[in-house]
Amino acid sequence: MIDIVLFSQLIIFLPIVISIFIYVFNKTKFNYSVFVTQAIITYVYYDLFNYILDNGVVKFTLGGWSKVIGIEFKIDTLSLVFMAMALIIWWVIMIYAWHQKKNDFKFWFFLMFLEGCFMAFVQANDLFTIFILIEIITILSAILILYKKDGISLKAGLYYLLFNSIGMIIYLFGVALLYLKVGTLNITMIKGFLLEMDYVGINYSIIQLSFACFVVSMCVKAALFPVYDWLPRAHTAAPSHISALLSGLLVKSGLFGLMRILDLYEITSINTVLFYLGFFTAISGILFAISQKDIKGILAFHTISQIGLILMSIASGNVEGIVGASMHIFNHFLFKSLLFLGAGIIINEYGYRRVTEIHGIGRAHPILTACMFVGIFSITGAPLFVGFLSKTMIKLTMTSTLHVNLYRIISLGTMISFIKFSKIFFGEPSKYKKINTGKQIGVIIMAALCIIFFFIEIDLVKDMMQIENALTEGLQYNLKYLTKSLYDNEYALEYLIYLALAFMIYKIFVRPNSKFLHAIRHFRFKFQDAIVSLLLFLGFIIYYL
Amino acid sequence: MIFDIILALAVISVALYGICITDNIIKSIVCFNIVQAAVILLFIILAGSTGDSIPIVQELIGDMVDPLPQALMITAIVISASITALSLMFSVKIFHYYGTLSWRELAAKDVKK
Repeated sequence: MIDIVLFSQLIIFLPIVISIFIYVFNKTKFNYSVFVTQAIITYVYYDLFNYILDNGVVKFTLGGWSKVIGIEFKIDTLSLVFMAMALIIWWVIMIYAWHQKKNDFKFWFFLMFLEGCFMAFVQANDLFTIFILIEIITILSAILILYKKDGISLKAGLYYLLFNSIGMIIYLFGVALLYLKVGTLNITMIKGFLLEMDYVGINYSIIQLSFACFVVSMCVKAALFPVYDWLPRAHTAAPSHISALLSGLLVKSGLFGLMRILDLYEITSINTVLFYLGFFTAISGILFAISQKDIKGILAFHTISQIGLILMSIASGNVEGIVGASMHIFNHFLFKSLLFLGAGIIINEYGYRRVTEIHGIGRAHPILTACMFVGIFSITGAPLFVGFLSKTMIKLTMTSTLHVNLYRIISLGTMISFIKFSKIFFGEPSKYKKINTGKQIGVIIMAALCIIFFFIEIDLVKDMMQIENALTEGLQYNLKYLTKSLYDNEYALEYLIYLALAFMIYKIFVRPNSKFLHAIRHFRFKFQDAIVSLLLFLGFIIYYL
Repeated sequence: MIFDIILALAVISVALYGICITDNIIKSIVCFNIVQAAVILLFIILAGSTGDSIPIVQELIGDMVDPLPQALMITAIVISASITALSLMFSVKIFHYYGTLSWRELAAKDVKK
């Protein structure tokens, strides 16, 4: 029997306290304590994980207050998944960035503080704590984005900070409206109230208005269709290890919030909107990704398209969809972080980042190329790599033929954008610079995880869903189907056909000096236009409900 | 109660209109502050009506103001202040770097690079 409260708080507060010590002591040797901290909380997480797999979901209130006014924490399977993601990416960033940032105590201060806040965010079970923690995460990640302090990253940081804060004001407005009606902020209790409430007249309107506010603010945080413009700016301007963190993990905090909100209200009429929203997000992400010339630009827009895909899965509204989405969140985290870290090494070597001017990485760095190709195969959904599992799960949740076809268009588009990306590996190398061992190890760890999780993920999902009592028949059927199709030749053949098709489309339609692509590449929202589109989006959601 | 919500919505929409039309970064930050202040005021107004007693008195006369929103809003004010400070710092740095504080001119400089 372990002390669950102590353990959960240790994961949150140990990084924060250590980060403050790092800042105060300002000694180079003390920076090594980040590894000790990380080792301790990994051990604690391991115990917590086993405890929850044995005993089920845990809830507790801090400081002996009542549930109505206190801060309640809840650790369920979704929080466990997010905590595992955070632990992995922080280990990798520490190894990857150690030789550059060894003496930089400020960097470690912000990084470790961010880890503690993120760990608290995924465990929080009341609406206001979620608000505070998202704001702190936004502030800290804005500081990390402009760590290089050049003009572009300053602009991107300011844009990111202001736009996300305005999104979170809409969230706060929703909290105010909901508090007026139910008188508590605890998510579990609000769910009970909403189930008993009779949905008539002004009460219902206010509840719906608050729902619309929550959904829109979470869409801003997750970078969905009309309000995604902050993401490519921030992700291309940030240093590469921070891009990996943002794109792998922090973007998903919006999806995490969205899943919690949808679970809270159970208003199913929004699902159709969310599905098409996801589709348009995915398509626009792919279009922009194909038009980009910047390596990190391709990856950043590709994150948007994958988030659209995850949203399409969430919008199915049943357990299978949520499980597929969570799996894809985890898998996308693995391979997108891998690609960003690899791109960081390449950019560091060449000093510039145009796709057309970089070539011959394959000859110069065979190990790095192998790792990057693991990422590319995963992201396009090739069998034997981790992306295959979640993409198949998402495909299984699409019931109608129309939905399956829309899904196919998106996976084809993904391949096209990555054919463009993979051009940098071929040809004669023009430069050679030895890769730092730490960076190499970081990339290899992520690539290894992409392959390892292909073999163990289905069992993990089964174990986790058992403790949530959510192992429904549909889900069991899907998982069984997935296990059966793991080594099926049919899927490999399908993948090859898609690849050939994507290659043909790329050769025929994607020309380097196409006017259409040029127009898309230089299309950017101004800040004011972005705010207008945010408001129009809010109006649309309110009107639809 | 409905009147309060409408009033708060009016202040919020005026400030959002300000964000939409202004081209200056400092003005955007000021408008952002007004929106935040309006939402915080709304939250506090909704917690009690005129004539309620303060929550620390021992003998209660009539209704009591709900103390929770006030405690929460102090935190929200702190967050709002820190975001304002940080974004003002960013805009100072941007002005040193580019010599302008206009969103439009900044975007134009982006394309050239």
